[in-house]
Amino acid sequence: MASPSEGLPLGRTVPPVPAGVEIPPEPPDVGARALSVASRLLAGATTFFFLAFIFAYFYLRSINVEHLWRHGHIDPNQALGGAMIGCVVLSAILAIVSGRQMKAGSRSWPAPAAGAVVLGLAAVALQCIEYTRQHFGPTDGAYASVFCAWTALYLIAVLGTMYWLETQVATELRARREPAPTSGDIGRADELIAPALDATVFYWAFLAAIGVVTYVVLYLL
Amino acid sequence: MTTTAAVPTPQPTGRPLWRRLIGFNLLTAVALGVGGYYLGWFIGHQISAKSLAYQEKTSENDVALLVAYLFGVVGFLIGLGFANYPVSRLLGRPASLREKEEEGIGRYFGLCTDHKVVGMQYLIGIGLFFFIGGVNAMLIRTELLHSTPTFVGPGQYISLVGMHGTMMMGMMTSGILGPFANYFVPIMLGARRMAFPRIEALTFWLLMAAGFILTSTIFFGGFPTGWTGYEPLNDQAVMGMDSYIIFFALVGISMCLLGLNMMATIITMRAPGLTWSRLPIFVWSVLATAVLMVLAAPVLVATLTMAALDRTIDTSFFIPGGGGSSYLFENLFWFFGHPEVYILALPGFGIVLELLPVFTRKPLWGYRLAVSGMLGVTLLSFFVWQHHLFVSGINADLRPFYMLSTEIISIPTGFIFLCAMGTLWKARSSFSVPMLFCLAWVFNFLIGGLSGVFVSDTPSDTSTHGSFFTMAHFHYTIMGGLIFTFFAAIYYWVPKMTGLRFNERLAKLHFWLMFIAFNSTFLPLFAIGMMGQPRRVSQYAPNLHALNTWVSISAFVLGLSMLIFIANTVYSMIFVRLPVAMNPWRSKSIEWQIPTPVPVYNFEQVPVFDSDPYDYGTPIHVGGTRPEPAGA
Ligand code: HEM
Ligand SMILES: [Cu+2]
Repeated sequence: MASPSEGLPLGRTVPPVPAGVEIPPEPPDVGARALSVASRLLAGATTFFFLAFIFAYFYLRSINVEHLWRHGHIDPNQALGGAMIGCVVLSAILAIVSGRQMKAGSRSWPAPAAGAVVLGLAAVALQCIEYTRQHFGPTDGAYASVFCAWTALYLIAVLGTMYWLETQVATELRARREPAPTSGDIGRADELIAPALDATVFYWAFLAAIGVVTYVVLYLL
Repeated sequence: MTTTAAVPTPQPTGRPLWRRLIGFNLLTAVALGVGGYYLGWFIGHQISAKSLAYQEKTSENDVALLVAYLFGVVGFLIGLGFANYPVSRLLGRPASLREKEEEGIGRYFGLCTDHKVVGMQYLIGIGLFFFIGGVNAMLIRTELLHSTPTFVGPGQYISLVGMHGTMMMGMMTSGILGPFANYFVPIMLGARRMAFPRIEALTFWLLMAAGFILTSTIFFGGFPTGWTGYEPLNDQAVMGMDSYIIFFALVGISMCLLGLNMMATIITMRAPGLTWSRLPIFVWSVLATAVLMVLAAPVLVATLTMAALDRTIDTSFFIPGGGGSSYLFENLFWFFGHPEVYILALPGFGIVLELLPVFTRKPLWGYRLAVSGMLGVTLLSFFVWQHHLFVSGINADLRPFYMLSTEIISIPTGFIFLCAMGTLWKARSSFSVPMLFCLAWVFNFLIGGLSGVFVSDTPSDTSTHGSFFTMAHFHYTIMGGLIFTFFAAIYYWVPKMTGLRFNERLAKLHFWLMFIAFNSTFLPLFAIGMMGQPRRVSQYAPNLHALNTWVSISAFVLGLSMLIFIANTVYSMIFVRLPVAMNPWRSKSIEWQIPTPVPVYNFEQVPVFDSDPYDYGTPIHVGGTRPEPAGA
């Protein structure tokens, strides 16, 4: 008996779309809403990630084991720290402006977005300069540990977000040079630029707010 | 009857073999992974700073190993082709969703964005590491045949326990979401894909890299902390601890992304008519699990980062000598760790409630109650973590709160039980293999839940904590709760995924042997624990020898039952290959209404849902197009 399962050799459990069947393209708002939801969820995950550091800060500060929480000379550089958080906030504002312009139909939105990327990278650079200037290192007690780890991980998050924002600018600029690219699977791919920018701007504004909290806790308290 | 669609034979690719092996595939990934590992090892040894002087004086170099692992993972992912898309986006190329969805067996060995392929990959990959974890359990029980260390030394014993526990906790978090949610959630939603197919593939390959790294701990001396990685032991441990850290951090990232993808998919991609109150209960359980994954896993990653920094650049998060506190680790770990245990339990609830209606031919009793139970568990599980620290010396005033909050969780959990009971009530059930596993869940989880009351109660926890009583408790909930439903899902859905059916007799043999051996293994452990046998120690009082021998023999039979399962899989899926009927369980759920094997795009036309999924009596409507998706 020829087994009817012969039509099912291993590795072909998922057949291709039969010839002649036309797959209607996906409505673009599916991808748009997925991006919007994902950026909110990512913000939630990021919050919980940094919550661990906030918890560590207040926990170690309140128990102050053997008075090793923070020695007198351990002070981060206020000028550089202020400059860095300034860059972050300005960058986020520029991103929001860019998002507004995009929604208003203006074609000039890539300019503020690019400015936001530059400022975000400047913030990263300033923080790195601060590491070389400061008079303490990660081994100088609990505050120093929290400071170094928290700021470094925040920088990584900023770098990732700047990459994300950069891809929006790059996609738009390329789409202007080579109009209406289609990728086949999500219909007109350039329709996704607007929701993607929206999601990025939301996330960056959120991350900047976390940055402000970081600054207040580490520099001002 | 067979419904296998005529599958066109794939076009043989004309290229020679060597040419096909070059490119972004598993082979390249392994090569770049190994290369990255050694590069990282080399670079790690070049890095030195004041605080690293200690490292230089010993043969231990945690910096080198951590950098090596990280570079190895990055190389592995690049080799699979995960860097291509981000780079092309950096250059402004348009977004796309699908990659490498061509024909042939090759897709199963690399990056593929078809959610059905990823589901299969997960099933095999997780199965492999589940097997390794199981072999470790057998070795543990072999050692415990004697009351004094004989087979492995005390240090190796704790490593073995740690590897077993960590592998199981890390891998099985995705045990049901990985294979079955990835495969069936989009179908159940009437969608063609997951919201982020590339991230979906990434979660799988991260997990594989992680499993490999945890296994490699044997080359670096293992780790002495068990799966919980407690400080200060964590900081003092040899390099094998770094494997634990990287493993769990990768699992955390994978888990967080998996949850994020699931939530985005469920929220945004439901087909027209699929309102929240028509969502299959399995999808609800996936949603609840995903919430926990997205919020709890980042805390784990942050905590392990701190631990890694303590071990390398000598920060002092957890080191009292530098102003830190090991309690900080314990708190942060369990802030993740308790939600983690519900990440393991919730998908099991979903499977049981999804399958019971099919086999009882009755609608799910108390759908809304079940949903509120799952959401209640999700919410409460963030407020109980200190029940793991009752006897650690925490402030005694905190204990009543955590005792109460823990015991309150039994209310929403009770809802799930109630719904299962209500569905079973007066039903004329058919006792097919998936149903048997679901019924076993009812039995096992009841014992697990009832014993949980004793460990959550502070006075009784003072004597059960750290004993085999606790060990028995969580095996009843995890193995009895998750693994039994995992097998229920396998017997229920794998026929859909492969188009082939399992040998029924072997399956029944597997079930009965597993069920009896499982209870015979873990029930006596409650008694052994009450009589004072501690966890994680291979030496025990000689008067417990007889019971331990009984338990070990039962455990070996339990292992044997797994071998029967593997034999059945090989026999049924590779040799006999009997095709499965269109809808063997006569389910009303949509995945059984579409052809087997499922076409690449799942549905030629977007389905419209017009009834709830457990409405046994009226046919499900699959067909008519309506392009606009369901409102939120
Ligand atoms: C074949 C079935 C299994 C057997 C015979 C088994 C046996 C054991 C034993 C004897 C221990 C404790 C050893 C000690 O503390 O001295 C242990 C620990 C543990 N097992 Fe299992 N186990 C099995 C399956 C599983 C499964 C399926 C899971 C989870 C998915 C699991 C999770 C754990 C965990 C988390 C620990 C704690 C490790 C630690 O203390 O850090 N086990 N197991
Ligand atoms: Cu807990």
